[in-house]
Amino acid sequence: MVHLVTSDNVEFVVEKEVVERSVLIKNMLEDVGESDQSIPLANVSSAVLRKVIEYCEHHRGEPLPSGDADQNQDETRKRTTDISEWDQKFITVDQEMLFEIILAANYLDIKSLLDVGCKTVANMIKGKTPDEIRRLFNIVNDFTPEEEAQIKKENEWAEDR
Amino acid sequence: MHRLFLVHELLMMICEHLYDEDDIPGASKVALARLARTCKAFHAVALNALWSNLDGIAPLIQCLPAEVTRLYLGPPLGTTVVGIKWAPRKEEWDIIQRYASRVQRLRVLNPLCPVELSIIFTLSRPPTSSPLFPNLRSLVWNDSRPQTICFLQTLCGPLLTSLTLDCSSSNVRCDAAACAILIALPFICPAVKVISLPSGSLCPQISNMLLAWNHLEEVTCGEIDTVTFRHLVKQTNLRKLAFTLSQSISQSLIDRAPFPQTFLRLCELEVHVSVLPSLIEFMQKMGIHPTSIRSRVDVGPTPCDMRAFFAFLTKHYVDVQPLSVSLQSLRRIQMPTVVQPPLVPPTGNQFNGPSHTGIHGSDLMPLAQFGSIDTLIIDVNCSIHFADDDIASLASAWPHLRIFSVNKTHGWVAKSDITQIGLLKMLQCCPKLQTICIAINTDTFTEVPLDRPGEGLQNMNVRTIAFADSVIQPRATTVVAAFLSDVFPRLNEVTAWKSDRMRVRRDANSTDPTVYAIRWEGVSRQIKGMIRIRQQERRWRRSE
Repeated sequence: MVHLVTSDNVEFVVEKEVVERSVLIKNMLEDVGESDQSIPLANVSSAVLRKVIEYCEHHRGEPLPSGDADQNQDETRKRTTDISEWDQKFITVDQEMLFEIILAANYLDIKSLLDVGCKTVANMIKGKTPDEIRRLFNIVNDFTPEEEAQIKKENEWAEDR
Repeated sequence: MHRLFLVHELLMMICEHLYDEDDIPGASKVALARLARTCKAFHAVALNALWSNLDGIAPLIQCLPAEVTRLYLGPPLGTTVVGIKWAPRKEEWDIIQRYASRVQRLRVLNPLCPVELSIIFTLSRPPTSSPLFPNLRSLVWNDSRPQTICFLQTLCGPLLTSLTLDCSSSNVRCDAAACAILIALPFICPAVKVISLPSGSLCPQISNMLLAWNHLEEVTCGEIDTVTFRHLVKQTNLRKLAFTLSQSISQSLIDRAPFPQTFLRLCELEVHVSVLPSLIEFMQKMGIHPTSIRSRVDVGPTPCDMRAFFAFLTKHYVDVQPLSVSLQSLRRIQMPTVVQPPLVPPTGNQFNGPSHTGIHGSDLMPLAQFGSIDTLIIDVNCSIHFADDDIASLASAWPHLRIFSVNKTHGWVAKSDITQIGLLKMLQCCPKLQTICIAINTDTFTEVPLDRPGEGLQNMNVRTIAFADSVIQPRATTVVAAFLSDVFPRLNEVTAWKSDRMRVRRDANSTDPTVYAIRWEGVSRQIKGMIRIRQQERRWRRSE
């Protein structure tokens, strides 16, 4: 079993097989060896880690993406990844939690979870106007109207369908 | 703004996921273009993703102010041609350069958005000594006009690693100047690892280009001479080779001792041969065991050739597990006993001619010893005689099977003995299956059962199924659609009788094959509706 301590000081005891879906933790365990010492995860809160562990438990035993996969394979994987029904249900959370899961997946190096999260954000963006995207993500438009118009003109070809 | 969007690599990943090729055509580009003008944090990342993969050079002109460009309808009717009114000024070149520098993969011509010849000439002479496309990694040159070849010099640069010269559809020959540009390409893009040359006669010395590259990993070309072949043999990183096996190379192998340490890393071999035995001889002489073998054969292959080939594999692939086997007849050489064959009834022994002229399930059984096989593609000028038991045996031997395609364009000629039982068995044994082409016997589809076929067995990967020259009667169409829509919930299309070769045939009742093709189109339409209804009902059930 592996002991993890979150940023809000909550300790989780997780099976090694489950937690090793995180490449970061897997490498740590390989470097340090078996130990009862807790691993501090300063960038992950307990609420987020709970979700991440739920994901890792569901996907335990599945092959991890190989480290030497070339760029083409990597791109194909990203582009063709369909979010499975379970993953879709899992990632149906409020926006704050979704973003925190993505950040945690990035920090812990869990590629498949990172893909599911980023794909979900991409799906949220699709079909929306810039104004709708700004409202959705609480973004301030820092372009002048002239700058925005120029970018629109120069890339209009992409919107001509 | 959430701190997530301040992490550059995460923004990049989101943009890459936006660029989803499976999506509604163009939707990804729209999303990226809109994201780019949402705020400055998204601007550069979204534009990099939008411009990184460019299909056609028209956008490099369309990005200029409206007064510089002109658009008009040209042939073919309805296609908008992009032109330019005057040579770009400095500020316009700045815009072009800003976007060209983001392009990493480029296909020069997009037939849906053609450009005037003058645009290619303009872009061929940028007013700068630095490369116009400094980050271009992959280039598909599909412009067959010899006068545009000078543009290649602008495009190719030191970072280019993949070059495809796709001019095979044209019969145009380059003049001496154009040939000189082609032959000199390796010197301006020495890092090329993946090269694809046309098999046509674009330029007589084109294969000489290969001699100048020494780090080749993938080579696709037509006929090459023995000097070039020997150069390729020595490429230690070569993992894919596709070429035409000429008489001279075959002869050179006979005349000399086997090459030591040849094609050390070759795992994909694609050979165009006159007859299949030449491939066997080639592989034997070279002592190579690529895991993927694809052969296009001019004459035949006859069932006898194929049996010999499979026997060769079982004998020589002792420690190597092949992944993919593909055999394809090229020319329409009429088999002695299969001249414009009528559709014949099921069971091989009633076939209109000796059974050795067709391929039977037992002929493929030697390959069952290779549990690694994930692709089997056969499209040959022989009749096919498979039954449920054959499919079941092969499927249970090949748990990793992804692609199983038999005589998609040639048709099975004989009526298939594969029913829904065989198909279900295959899906059960091969969960990764994503491409299927078989002929199916629809006689057993008599009514829509109340129970789900295969106890709810489903395959979520298959989007298209080809049923070769399967016969279907009107009464079976709804039953087949009900079956397929349940088993393949993501099926988009079912095709059958698609090739000209199959459409010229008549069955024993002189039925026009178009009739069957139309019935299968009807099945395809019904499937879409049924899948939608099934989705609706599943949603209702969940909300209850």
